[in-house]
Amino acid sequence: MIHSFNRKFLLIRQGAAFLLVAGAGHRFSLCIESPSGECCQGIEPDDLLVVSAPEGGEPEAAVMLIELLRRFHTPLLVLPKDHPGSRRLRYVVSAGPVIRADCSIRRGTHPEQHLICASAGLTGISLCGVPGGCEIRDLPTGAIAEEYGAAGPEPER
Amino acid sequence: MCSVGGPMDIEFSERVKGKDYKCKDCGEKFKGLGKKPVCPSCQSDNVAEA
Repeated sequence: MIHSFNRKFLLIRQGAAFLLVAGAGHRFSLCIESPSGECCQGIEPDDLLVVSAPEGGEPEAAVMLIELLRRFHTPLLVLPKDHPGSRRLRYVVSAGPVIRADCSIRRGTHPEQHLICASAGLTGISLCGVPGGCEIRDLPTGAIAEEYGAAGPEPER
Repeated sequence: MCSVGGPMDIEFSERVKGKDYKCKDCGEKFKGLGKKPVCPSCQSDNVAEA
């Protein structure tokens, strides 16, 4: 299924858990700060930015996280394994051309941007960036994909 | 379920490994990922492997 953003976000939810998806909109460098150092990922205009709230939360908070990345190029912080702060993270972020939701990872601790921690009900979804939108693959039964909010001004491409 | 506080976890054998790049516009050196790395300092894509 292809979803066009039309300057809005894509919200995929099942129960309280959700994924909020947006296009990057322009080329920029996303710095990933991990205990082993810093890597800077080149983000392309049609890449995706995804926020996951595995236990639910406020989609508006996810909007703010996406905008911190997309508009303000805020770095991503990766916690070391078993860091106590991991259990307090209600929202996690991934960016890249293809992102897969997986519930078998420890949130906030993995720098691999093609995976994002999600609820069991949303595990298996693959999101692939396409011009102006994203392709949703393997949407689980019962999950709902819908437009959310206004994404604000179109970022420079 | 997510593994927070629980026993499940995946140890990734292949961690993120960037290549060393240098920006031709501003001289910034950085480790880059992706097909088209972009300079984190000046956002230029005029970069080369160092």
